[in-house]
Amino acid sequence: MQHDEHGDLVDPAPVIVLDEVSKKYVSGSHTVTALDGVSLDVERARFTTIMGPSGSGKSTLLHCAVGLDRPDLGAVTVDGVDLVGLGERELTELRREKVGFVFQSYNLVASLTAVQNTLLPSRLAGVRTRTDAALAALEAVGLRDRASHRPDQLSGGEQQRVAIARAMVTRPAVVCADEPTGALDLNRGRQVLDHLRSVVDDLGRTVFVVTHDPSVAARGDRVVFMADGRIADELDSRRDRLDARTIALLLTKLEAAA
Amino acid sequence: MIAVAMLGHRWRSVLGGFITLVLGVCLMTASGTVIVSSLPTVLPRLENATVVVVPHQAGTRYDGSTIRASWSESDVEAMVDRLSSDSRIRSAVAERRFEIRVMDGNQIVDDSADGPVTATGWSSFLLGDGSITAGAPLTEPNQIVVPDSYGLDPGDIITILTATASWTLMVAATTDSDGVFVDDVLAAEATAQVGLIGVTPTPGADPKEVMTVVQTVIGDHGVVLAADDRAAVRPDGGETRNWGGVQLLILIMLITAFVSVFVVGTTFTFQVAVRRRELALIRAVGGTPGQVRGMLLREAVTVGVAAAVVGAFAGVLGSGVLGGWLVETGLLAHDWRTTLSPAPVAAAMLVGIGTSVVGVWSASGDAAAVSPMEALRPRARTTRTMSARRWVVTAGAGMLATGLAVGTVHAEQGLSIGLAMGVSAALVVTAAAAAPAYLPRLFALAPGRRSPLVELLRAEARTGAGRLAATMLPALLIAALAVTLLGMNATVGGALAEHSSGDLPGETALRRAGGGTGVTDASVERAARLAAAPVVSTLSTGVYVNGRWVEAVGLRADAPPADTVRASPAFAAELGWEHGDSVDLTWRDGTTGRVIVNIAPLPAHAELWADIALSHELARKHDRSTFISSAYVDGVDPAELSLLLADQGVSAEPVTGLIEAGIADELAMLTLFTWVLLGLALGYAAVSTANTLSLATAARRRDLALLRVIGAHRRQVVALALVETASTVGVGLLVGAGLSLPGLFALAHGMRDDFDPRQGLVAVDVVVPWLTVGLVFVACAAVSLVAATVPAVRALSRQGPR
Repeated sequence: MQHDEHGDLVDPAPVIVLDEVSKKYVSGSHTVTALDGVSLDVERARFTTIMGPSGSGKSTLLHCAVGLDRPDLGAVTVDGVDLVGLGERELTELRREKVGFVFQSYNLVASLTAVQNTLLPSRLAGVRTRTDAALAALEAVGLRDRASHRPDQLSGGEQQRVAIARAMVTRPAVVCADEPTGALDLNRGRQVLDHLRSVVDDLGRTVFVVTHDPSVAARGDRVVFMADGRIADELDSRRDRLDARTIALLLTKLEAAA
Repeated sequence: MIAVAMLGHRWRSVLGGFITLVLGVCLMTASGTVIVSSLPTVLPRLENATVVVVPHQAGTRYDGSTIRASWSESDVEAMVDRLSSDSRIRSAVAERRFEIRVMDGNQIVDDSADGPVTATGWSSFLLGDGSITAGAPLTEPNQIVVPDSYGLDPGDIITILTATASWTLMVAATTDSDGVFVDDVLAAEATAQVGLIGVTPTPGADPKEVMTVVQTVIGDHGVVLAADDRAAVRPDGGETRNWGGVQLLILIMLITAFVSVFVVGTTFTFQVAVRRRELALIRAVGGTPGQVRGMLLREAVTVGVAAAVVGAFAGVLGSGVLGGWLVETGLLAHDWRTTLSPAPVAAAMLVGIGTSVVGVWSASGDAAAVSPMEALRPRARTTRTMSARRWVVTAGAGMLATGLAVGTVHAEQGLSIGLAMGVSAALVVTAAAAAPAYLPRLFALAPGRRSPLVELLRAEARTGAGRLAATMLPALLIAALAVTLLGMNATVGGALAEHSSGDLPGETALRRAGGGTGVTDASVERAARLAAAPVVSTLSTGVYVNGRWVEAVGLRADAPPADTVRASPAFAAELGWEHGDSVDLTWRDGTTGRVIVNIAPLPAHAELWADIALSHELARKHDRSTFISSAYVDGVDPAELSLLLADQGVSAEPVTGLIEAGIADELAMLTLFTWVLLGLALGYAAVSTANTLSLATAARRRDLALLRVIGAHRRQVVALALVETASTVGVGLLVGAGLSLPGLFALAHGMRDDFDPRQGLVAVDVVVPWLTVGLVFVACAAVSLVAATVPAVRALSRQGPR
């Protein structure tokens, strides 16, 4: 919370830049505007969370920001690369290189062990990553001794931590997560958040999280609130108090307005 | 690496595909090996003849065998003389081959299971690779050499019957070959025809030079064959003796390949459906569509290679069993032996691996199209039921069916049967591809609005239409195959039984005792002395008109006068012959003659295959070696006549039931084909059904367990699975049966002119043995229900939704 006190930190170019991004979904006869001209910079080496009521467009924002989905209008840049006009294969390769993913659940390929899962992205990229690196990444999330276990032999929290290790092993520009603690109990959720936090604090990486849980958002450096496909408000630890209560109040206000 | 690791984890889910492929490769290896083993090879009796000369081809007989021209005696003499005079040629043997019957008293010694038994002059012995196993070479005119399989010993006295003569001879030797050899003078007495000249080279002579010499001498008098080309000389009457077996094996291979692609395709389509989330995850963490596709292809190839190895091994072992069974059923010649060759094994393995790739191809396309977004949804369930691919297939197959249907109406009869079968096949494909579109609608019609079970059923049909369609597919296939195959069998059988019953020209038929054909002239003469009316006999021979083979029949009753031939009106019109014309013919023995043409219909028993009739005497004069193929007598006691003809190896039998027995034989063969193919298809479909259903039920284990948690009784959940499966399979069976009917009706329509042309078009009814079809359907439903219930019960025995 005292991060903004380190005012002398160099603030380089943002990792992700969204410029006037719009996205509509056609569902049957009616059209849903998921994003309505959203512009956002995701700053480097910070923990940014997106919050908002269901249907506010927060997940669509994340998908568009990392090239999982394509916006109808507007531009997206990831680590200096403009996503507009990239083919499916190029997008995949960009994600592989610059983005690490942690999902709510079912993060791991069931037939592969923890260490094999950790190595999967670099294998897919055709990069020879030493098993040491994967083991070190597992060590960092406290699962060195579970390396040869399969997902069904791991608890939900351990699975999420393996996913964090996997997300880190390729040294991506940004680690993004969609409700990373959504399927976990309080204690295990806290552990996972600790590890995500350390990705920023100890490794100086960028973390970008979508959540509806104020206690998750409270662990971040910056909270962006969304409503009706637009950015409705924002809290930044440099200026504002970032605690679960404040965040929850703001969220309730937005939900009431919706 | 990843593919193998993933495969190892889920081997159970690809087991169905694996078993199918093992079966497929096994059957293809065995069938291919049997087919290759039955291909014509150089006959053992020509093994030592480096070069063989035969006359040019002159036509094809009514049974499909090749017929060659006849050399005149002087031509043969000239060729043999010139060949023998070359220093590089040790001997040139003119082979005279003629039909015989080997008698030991009233007992037939020879075995005619594979066609007529023949003998040649002793000089032909050195053309073959046989060797004497007992006794000494033939030196005297009253001696004979026989195969040791006859069970005779040197010194035994036996009787040899030819068509026109009877010789009492002493066995000089037995050999390990299958030939019977008599003195060359006797052979020349028995037949004037020389079918081939075999050339053996002087030791040390260059085979190429020998070939050149022979070619120079023969010129265009004949065809010179060397090395493997000598396989063109086929056993007597044996050109088509393996054809039935080969046909069946080809059908087996076709069905095998088709069904394998189908089952493997279903297996992998399910793999993709069940693993969407995992595939999406791989896409999300950096797998390109190409990598996902490649992963599935590698998995399929791994399964394919493993199955190919196991299947090929089993197939090689099984080829002997398969061949033995075909010999037993009479579909392969008795002397058939397995020859292992790498080609069919390699081909079957490649087809097996190719099949798994083809099977996975479409599924891997679906896999590559999985969006990485699906990994982010807590529980993805696609509500889109008809993929673009399905619509394309539906539209394509539908248009094909329409086009073929139009063709069926307009095409000539023979082609229209094939087209109608195509219509049925295309309709089945259309019904299969469009299933997700109509199945939910059919389920929506289910009665019992208030029942929660029915409500659930309808909802499941809406969201799981793809799964239901996959469940229905094997049933659809089974129904289509069962109705088509059983219907064809019954329809063809019914039509044969109804329309083939012709009249035989007498009360008593003369036949080879113990089955087979071939009656000696002596038998007919003896019968004629007893008979109340002239004996009707048929000598199947031929003449050459301008070098072209014409089927001719030698008649005893109703015979044309001497030096005349009777030509059928159609044949005379074809050649431009007028009644009373004098025409030049070449006879079977190579001599030529001039005869007067009478134009009149041939007798009913000959007109279907012969174009010309001669008197028996004229036919016999120029064809001394061919046995009379059939003879009918009136006003005799069959038992008495049989006794009289025992030494000729001929028995007399009442004709009553003969035609029926013939039809019954034909129908038995047809039924055998039907059940082999149906059994094969059903076996595959059962594997496919079990595979699809167990995969489908396993995939929704979570849903079933959830139902239990929210208060459904175990039996309610099982009932849901049962009712759903029963309804889906029921729809598949009905649709498949219905769509096969157009093909059957077209078949019946096309068969109307396949019978006696004198009757014109006959009425052919479509017959479907519904009872048998029903039993097949019940079996299919039973397999389906067991396959659906077992995984459901197993799924429920695990606690709670996981």
